[in-house]
Amino acid sequence: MAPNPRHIARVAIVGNPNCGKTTIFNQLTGLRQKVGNYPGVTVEKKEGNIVYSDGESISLLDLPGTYSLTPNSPDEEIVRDVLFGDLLDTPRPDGVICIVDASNLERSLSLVSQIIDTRLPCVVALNMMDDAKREGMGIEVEKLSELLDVPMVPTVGSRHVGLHELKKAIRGDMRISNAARRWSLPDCVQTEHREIVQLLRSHDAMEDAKAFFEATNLLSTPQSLENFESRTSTQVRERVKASRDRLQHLGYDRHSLFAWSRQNWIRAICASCVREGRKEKNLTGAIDSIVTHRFWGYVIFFGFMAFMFQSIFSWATIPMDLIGEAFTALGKGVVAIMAPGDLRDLLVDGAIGGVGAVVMFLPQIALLFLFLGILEDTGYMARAAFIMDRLMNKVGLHGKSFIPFVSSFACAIPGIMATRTIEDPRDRLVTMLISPLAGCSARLPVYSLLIAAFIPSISILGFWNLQGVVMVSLYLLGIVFALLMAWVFKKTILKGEAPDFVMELPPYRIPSLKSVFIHLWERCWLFLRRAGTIILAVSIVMWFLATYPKTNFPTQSEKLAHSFVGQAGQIIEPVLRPLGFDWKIGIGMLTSLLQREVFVSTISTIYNVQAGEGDPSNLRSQMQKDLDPATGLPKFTVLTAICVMVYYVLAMQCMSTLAVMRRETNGWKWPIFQLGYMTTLAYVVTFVVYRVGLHFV
Amino acid sequence: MDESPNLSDAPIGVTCVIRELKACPETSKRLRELGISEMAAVRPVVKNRTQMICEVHNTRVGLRRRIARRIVVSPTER
Repeated sequence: MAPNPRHIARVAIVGNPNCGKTTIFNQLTGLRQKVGNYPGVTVEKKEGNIVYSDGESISLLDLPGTYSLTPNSPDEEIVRDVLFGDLLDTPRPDGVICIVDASNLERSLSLVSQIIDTRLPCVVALNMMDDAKREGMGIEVEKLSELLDVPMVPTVGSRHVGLHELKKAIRGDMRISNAARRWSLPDCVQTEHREIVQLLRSHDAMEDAKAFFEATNLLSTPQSLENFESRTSTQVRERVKASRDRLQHLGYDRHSLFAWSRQNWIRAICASCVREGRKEKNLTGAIDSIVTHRFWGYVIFFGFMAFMFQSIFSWATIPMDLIGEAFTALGKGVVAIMAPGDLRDLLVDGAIGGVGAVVMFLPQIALLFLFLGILEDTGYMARAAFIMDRLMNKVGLHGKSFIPFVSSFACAIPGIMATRTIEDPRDRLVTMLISPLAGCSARLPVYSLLIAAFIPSISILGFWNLQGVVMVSLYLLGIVFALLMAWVFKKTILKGEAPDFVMELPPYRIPSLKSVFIHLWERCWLFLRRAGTIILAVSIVMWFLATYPKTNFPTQSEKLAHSFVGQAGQIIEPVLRPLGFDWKIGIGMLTSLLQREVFVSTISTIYNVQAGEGDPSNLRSQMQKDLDPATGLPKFTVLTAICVMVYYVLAMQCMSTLAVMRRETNGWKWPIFQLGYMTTLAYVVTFVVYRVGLHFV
Repeated sequence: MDESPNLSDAPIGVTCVIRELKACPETSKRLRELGISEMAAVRPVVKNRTQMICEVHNTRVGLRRRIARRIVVSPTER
């Protein structure tokens, strides 16, 4: 066995969005990654290790993509705070690997020059060199490296080209550049800037690099100085105000001056060592003309979503059946080797039945994450945001809000995390409030169970299956209500103009199998972990509550009705009767406040207990056969199933999402509001659907 | 109404040079970060009634035409 690696440094990876940063991070660290959050915020913190053959290791920190170190949004603030060592529990890195899209050098070097200005040791990876060559660009790498005084390594991260050299450079060549702050400002501006830097250092005890950026930000930002009260002293702010007035008096546009000066310096460097290629019509152009078309764009997007949900339903059937059979066999195995009694029932009806009922949906969840990963990694997600901007604009948001919403199809938590790229705080809050209305993967087991049990598998128009159509309709219902609620919020409690939409559209790429696999693995593992912890615990508790107190009633059904859970169910049933729900559904809804898929395990445990020695896997038929003793009619009908699904489309049944909301909004006000509005909405809409539905059945 | 030639009116496929950004400071900052800065060559590639996509350096940027009207351009021979 290899000895434990000796940790020698901690290095951050920085780059523009879509520069291949995460691909390089994945290639350098393999599966040696740890995913967490920065303390106090929910921006994902990814850490990994490069282990060298001699046993030394360097830890890598993958920072969110950013365009500059003067942040516009919360995730960009993280980058700045990490690089200046301002974040709790995240020490200032010993160096920076700056990933640059070589085919877009002039723009990318703006960030490189800012990193150089931090006076942190750095190395630059000129990534996507294959794209640059294809575009006909010629880059004199050595000369560029000399002019910026940083080591540069040409790479093609997706094909593992240059990564060995990059690893060597990280350990051996990383250094502080002497080209820091070479871009020049007009003399009088330089003087004002320098004096503010000195004041920040002496008065506010700021370290030099941080003072340099803070002074630049204070002079150039359109924000009022009141916004800097917590970070700067009164003397500094008074000095900045005087400087701003002086620059205005001299006729300088302070907002653009600094970016302009830096860009001029970079442009001169690029002119001397980069030969621009001749742009030919390419695949990206051809695809964009179709997928961003004002009519076909929508057809393609909604067609893709329909295909995705249809496929999730049909492709996953075989592995789902296999998992179901495996759990059934496990249950039968336990029955065969254990003597009858409570412990055996607990294991078979509670633990195996409850967990198995949820775990069997793993193939569907994996497929959902696979589709969403492909959507993201191919570059299509940004196009979806572009075409949806027209629609989002009508409800007062912009296309960027659509990306967190689509991410929420996987899980509302990364969806809420993704709102950190939204600049306007009100728009960010509206997006967070509506994100859980996207049909997350935890709803999938609920939908799949009820659709498979109550919606007939018949073909429509020869190629759509009714079950798939119902599934797609549920997701569309979530989208429609999300847009409606966004419009309501933007017109009432979070009033504001629709913001400007400007967004980079990355070139289309074939996704890296490794990146897709790593992402898929992380999400599936998270799902399995939840099944093995929360769902297992709830299943055991539910079994206990559904089995005790033991009574002498002749039928299992009556015994269940008089158990703890049966008695609790009767108490809540009057509230749910108007929706057409009986007490078993009510208990499922109550326990699934923790997380939505718990509904399936709860219902499974209740029906297993009711069935006694019944087959624990055959939940669907148990639900179909469940008759109301008073009327002799089935308790679960197509209408009941539709109403339960509509309720789950709209209700906030996820404690983890509420916890993330609390952390993101710094309090309980908005999570409680979110829980309240979603539950009310779900109740009212389900009531209407049930009442209207009764006229048709 | 400003009569300067602007990016919104530039024909598809024709490369222009950006002369001035007249959007609000926040939007102008974002535009510059995305490469839409003074002296950069820009080429509209897709347009509809409310939005457009343009190519700047080797990147595609999607924006509303309302913002593009605040970007002053001049034609260039390329």
